[in-house]
Amino acid sequence: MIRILQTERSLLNSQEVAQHSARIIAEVEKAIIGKTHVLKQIMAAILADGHVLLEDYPGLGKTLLANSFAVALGIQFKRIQFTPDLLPGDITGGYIFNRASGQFELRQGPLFANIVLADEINRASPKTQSALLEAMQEYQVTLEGETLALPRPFIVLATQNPIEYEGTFPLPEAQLDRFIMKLSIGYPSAAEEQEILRRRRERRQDVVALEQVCNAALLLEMRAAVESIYVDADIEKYIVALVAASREDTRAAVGASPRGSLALLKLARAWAALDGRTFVLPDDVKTFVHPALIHRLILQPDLWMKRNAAHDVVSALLNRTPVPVVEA
Amino acid sequence: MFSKLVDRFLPQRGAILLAVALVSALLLLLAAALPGASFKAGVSLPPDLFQRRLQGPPPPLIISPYFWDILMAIFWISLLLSIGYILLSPEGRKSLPYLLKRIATQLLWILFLFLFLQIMLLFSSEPPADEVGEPARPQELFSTGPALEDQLEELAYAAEPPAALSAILTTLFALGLTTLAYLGWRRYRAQRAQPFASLDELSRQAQAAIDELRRGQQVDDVILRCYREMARTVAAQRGVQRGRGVTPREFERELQRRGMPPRAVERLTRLFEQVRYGNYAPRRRDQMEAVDSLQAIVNACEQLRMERRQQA
Repeated sequence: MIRILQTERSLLNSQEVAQHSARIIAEVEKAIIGKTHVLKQIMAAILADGHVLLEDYPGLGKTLLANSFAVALGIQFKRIQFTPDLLPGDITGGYIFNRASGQFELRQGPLFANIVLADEINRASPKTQSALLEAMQEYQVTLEGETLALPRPFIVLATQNPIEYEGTFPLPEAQLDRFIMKLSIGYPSAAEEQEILRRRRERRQDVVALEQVCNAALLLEMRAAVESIYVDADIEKYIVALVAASREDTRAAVGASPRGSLALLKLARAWAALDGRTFVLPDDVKTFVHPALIHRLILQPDLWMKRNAAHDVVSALLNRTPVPVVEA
Repeated sequence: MFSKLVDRFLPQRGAILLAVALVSALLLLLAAALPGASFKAGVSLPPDLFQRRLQGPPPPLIISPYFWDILMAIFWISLLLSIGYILLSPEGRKSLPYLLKRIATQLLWILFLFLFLQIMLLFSSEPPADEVGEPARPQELFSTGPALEDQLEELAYAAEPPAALSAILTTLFALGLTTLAYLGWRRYRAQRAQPFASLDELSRQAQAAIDELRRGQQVDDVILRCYREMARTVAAQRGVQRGRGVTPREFERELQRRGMPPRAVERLTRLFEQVRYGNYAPRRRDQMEAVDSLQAIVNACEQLRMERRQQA
């Protein structure tokens, strides 16, 4: 039933992308229990060549999640703990003088990895945040006038704590816009938490042994296959209407940017591929409207202290924007 | 530039219509709350007038003569606004038959409303003075001298009816009108959503599509038609309307929850998705499957209707 896609760029079809993705998610699920939907969303972001901002409380497995994805994908993982005294050079690297050779040698910083976990990104100074966010956008780092390309795939999983604001530097909206989506992992249910305990008891150690089920080349092929997913013109109009509605909503001082539209398009295509489809459905778009748009909205000041205000605004957009179906 | 202006404001047409309705209701309230007062300059109202008025029989209710004028003004403004709205709506700008149909329907409603208002106007003319009766005059009023008596006579008329009663009645009247308008609107929407008079008509439509296919006739958009008919059938027979922001899959889950045959609904939805969003050219087998699924859904609707009728 599903049409096999054969393109010049990719030898994979959407069903194969779905199968590979399912294996990766199944592997990560050995470590992260009961969060299949979040894992699928992060997988979609990885396929869509995007970076993810995880905003959640401490102890919910954000670091474990990033590490598990890196192991399952078979790509290099680095972690940066952001602090106020962290300098741009600490994450990008720099030239160090080697006394033995008498020359300056490049020492690459932790940014030179495939998956970078930027832990508590809002604790770093704006200068350091900018260095990271520039790398996220340009996929390159400039050191001493020399431009160095970052390895591909390059994925940043950043985390921030939603409750502690003391000594933090909140990310400006322009920088938040660089993240393809903002997610929250959330607490596990009682049954899921009990399952976490049971598994820990059975394996007799803290470390979860995961297997590599993918590699960088395969991941790039999967990304190329996602580029072949068909998007109907009406679906594009639907995406544009959603984003335009965010700009027209009186509760939003600033709506989502065209980068938001692009994020929705890319994520919807990735989600279709994860489902083994060759075309995008309105449901694929709806799945990502909240995570892809919430952090791009600047609400009116009277809503800043209101709980879930951005969520409500986006839900209202979804309800009032007509889905392209058929005219009665 | 004009079309840009229209496109700019049309997304907020709901809010604009609400504002117009609110202003109309407020004007109605204001019109009916004017008690036909005719105060004279320099003549003060006796402080105990209302207490004395309570001793006599209740005065007749007099509606302001401006009430009907304002009501008619609102009527004509509404007429112009509604025709303008139809002309400027996206559907109206796209299709001439749709435009003419909408205007004709609107004019029929307006004609009905106009006749209703005219009849109301005939029955609401002020009653003659002898029918109304003289307002009560406490005995002590006649003993205060002719000058004050004349003043009080005019002022007693000027104070009728009590403003609170007038406001309550007007509010009730406005609420009644609004309810009537809302019910009319709902009926109109329901009629639009129910193009088929009966399930028999629906079955005939489905059967006609099957016959066309069996005769080998080319029917280009069978799957889209089947899906559209399914949406109409479930709206007409089961009252399940697909909301603006509801996707086919969400609609599918809703239909399955409401007791529609899951397999048929799922199959028709999948075929529809492939054709509508996947640029998929359906084969004859797919078209037959779509028609069969529609038939199964129509049959299920009929069965559920019969069961409900038997239970009733």
